[in-house]
Amino acid sequence: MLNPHFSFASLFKFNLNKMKVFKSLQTSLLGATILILSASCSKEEMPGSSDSGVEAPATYAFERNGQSTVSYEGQTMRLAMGKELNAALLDFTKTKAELLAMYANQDSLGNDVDPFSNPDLNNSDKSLRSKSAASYDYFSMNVTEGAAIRAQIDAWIEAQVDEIFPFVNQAASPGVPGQVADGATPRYVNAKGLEFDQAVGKSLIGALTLDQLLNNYLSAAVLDAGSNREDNEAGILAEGQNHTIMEHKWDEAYGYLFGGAANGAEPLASLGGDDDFLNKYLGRLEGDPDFAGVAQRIFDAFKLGRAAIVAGDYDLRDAQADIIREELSEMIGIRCAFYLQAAKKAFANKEDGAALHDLSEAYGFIYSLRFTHNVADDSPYFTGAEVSGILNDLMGDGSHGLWDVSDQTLDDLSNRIADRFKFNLSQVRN
Amino acid sequence: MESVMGGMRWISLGLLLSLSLACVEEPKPDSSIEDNFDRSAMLEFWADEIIIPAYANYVAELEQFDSLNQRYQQSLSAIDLQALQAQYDQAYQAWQWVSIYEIGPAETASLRNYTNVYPCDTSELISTVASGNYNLGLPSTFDIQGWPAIDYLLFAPIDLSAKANLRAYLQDLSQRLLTLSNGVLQAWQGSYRQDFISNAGSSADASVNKLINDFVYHYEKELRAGKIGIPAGVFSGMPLANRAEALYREDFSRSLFFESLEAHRRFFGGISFDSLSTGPSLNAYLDYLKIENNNQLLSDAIENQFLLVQQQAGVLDQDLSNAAVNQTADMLQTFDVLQQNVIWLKVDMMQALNVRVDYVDADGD
Repeated sequence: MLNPHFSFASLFKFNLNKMKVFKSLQTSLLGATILILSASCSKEEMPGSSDSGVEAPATYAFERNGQSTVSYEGQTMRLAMGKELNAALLDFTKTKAELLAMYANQDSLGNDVDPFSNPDLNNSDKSLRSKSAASYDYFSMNVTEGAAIRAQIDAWIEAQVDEIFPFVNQAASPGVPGQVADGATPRYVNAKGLEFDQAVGKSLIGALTLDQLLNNYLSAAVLDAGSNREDNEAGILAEGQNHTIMEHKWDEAYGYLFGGAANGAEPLASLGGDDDFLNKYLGRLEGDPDFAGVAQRIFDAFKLGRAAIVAGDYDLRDAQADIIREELSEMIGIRCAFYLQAAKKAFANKEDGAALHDLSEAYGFIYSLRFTHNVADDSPYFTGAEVSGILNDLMGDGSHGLWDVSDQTLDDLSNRIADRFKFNLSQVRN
Repeated sequence: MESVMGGMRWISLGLLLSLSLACVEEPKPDSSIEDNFDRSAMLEFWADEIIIPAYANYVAELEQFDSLNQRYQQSLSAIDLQALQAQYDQAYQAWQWVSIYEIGPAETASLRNYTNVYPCDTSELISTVASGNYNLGLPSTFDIQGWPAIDYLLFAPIDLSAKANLRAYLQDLSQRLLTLSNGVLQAWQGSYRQDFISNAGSSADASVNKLINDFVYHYEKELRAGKIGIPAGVFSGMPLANRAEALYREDFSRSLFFESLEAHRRFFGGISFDSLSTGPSLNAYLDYLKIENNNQLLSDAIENQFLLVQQQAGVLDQDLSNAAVNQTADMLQTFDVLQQNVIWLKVDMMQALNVRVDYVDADGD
């Protein structure tokens, strides 16, 4: 059994954010200037109201006939499945079949299985795997790549069992799998210094949650499919439900970000603590003074977009979708650069364990870049081929993979990623 | 329009931040003063009068602990157990005086992680001992060894005299602490002392820069957060009584806090380990550069703050796990008083001495 003693190290995270405030106090007026600039940049798209007079409510609460029309149970369910999977990847008693069954919620023959500890999840027919790399926009006409991505995630899960589980009771070193210390926390890496549990967990942020959210449920093609517009305007509800199909699609997008919140109408109160995926890292981003305000902007766009659907204002809806796509894509890029730079600092400090952990997180976030959505051309900020190139470069400075990566490579890759986005490296370095 | 107001609030917060930062930045080094401070002399004082004597003292206390342990293992008598328990106090206190100096041989050995990661994972400890198969050199065993594990073995209601395998494990833990610490002491008494002193420059790898980072890190993470903030619930929103140090010994965690606080205060103030002499340290360095804060010397502000912490912590229960629950407000107040010196040390002092913070704020997951 893994001992869950992360207490000491993990409890620091809150005060670490505080310390970043002090650092930013110290780093000149730049931070404030950026705040002002970014506030004025987004002013044209300032949520809350629109020319057409659509008003966003104060909370994400919408009703029809006195009953809520909001529902996203399927997303809540998948976020909970993902949390169990992430934990199970570090339970060294698990078999490959058990872990793969958690990912797919079925066995290799497609039979129903009960891989989760929560019976609600076992009773569900939802699956993480079936929604990985499965968005309408990116994969409905590219099932080849979708299948390859799911196979890649399967392969990492298997590698966790093959390359790491047998060696958890030995010390890792370049070329040797095993444990490394990240502060007081043990991390478990393969011979090249990679934690496959991180590769899986962070890749699912992109392949599952981001892809479904940005490229499926916020897609005009999905929102407007069939007679959705006519039905939405005529108030024709989905069978047995209190929502129109279009309303529900929008809510499902919302659920991939806020579906873990105890109070789904006001999820910002618990931001960061509601899942292991987008919510967690939006919380991190919000906690960085360089990026504070992003969570409110996204929440406002979700509310206004939903109100626009109720009002039948689809241009306004799509403008909000674009805000969400841009902000969440930016977040993935920022996390990539953040971890690459953190690793560089940790290596310089001779904290190899911390560095390898940062790089393992970076590895998954880089994989997630392929699922970002650039609204300028409705395509990912990085193609699958480009992502493979970056990951090869990250692993390729020597025969021992992440152990051998040079500062030069870390800087090059950080720049290569940052160049496609709006943020700059000085914002992620502090 | 509420959210527009929200945006405005962020902007004003940004401006406020920048204004307050102007205040924080005030104590800049006077550019007319060239930094010719004798760093070598300071390093020599740190090594010879503070660090090496502190390690020598700790190792001596450990040797005593280990020999009392041998005696108890032979006799299993209650009186020998009491003597061992009493020596635990001495040795654990002595540890607080070296914990700060995780540099060179201690850093290489991960001495602090192998000595004082708490709380001990007691169920893991029990199952590990039962398996009879363990490698105490692995990071996953940090929290089943060192003082927190010894604390459990000596003070939890487990009837050690009836459990041969736990006694054998105690023996392993004691000897391991001794081996590791002795290795660090011997390195200091050997060639490392000279390496440390002669690396007297001002690069990020220089001894002064590294040890200042180690000192400030320890103050922030181990003293402020580990001993006070985490049990008080600063980071979790509710008190976590079982995160206090020396949980099973009881009525001892405040004493360990005071030892550590005093070790920090004396290091900053240039007081030798035996407290019989003084020498150049951070206070003298700041004064040399004439660093002021609100019309008083920054060094005085920091020294006074150490005394304020001492005073504030004086109201706490001797057992900080009790204080976390029954005196939560006092614990939080202690944290706040400690926090003031994090700012003065980590922002004002390090900036004035032109030392970059080198530690990464770990992501925590």
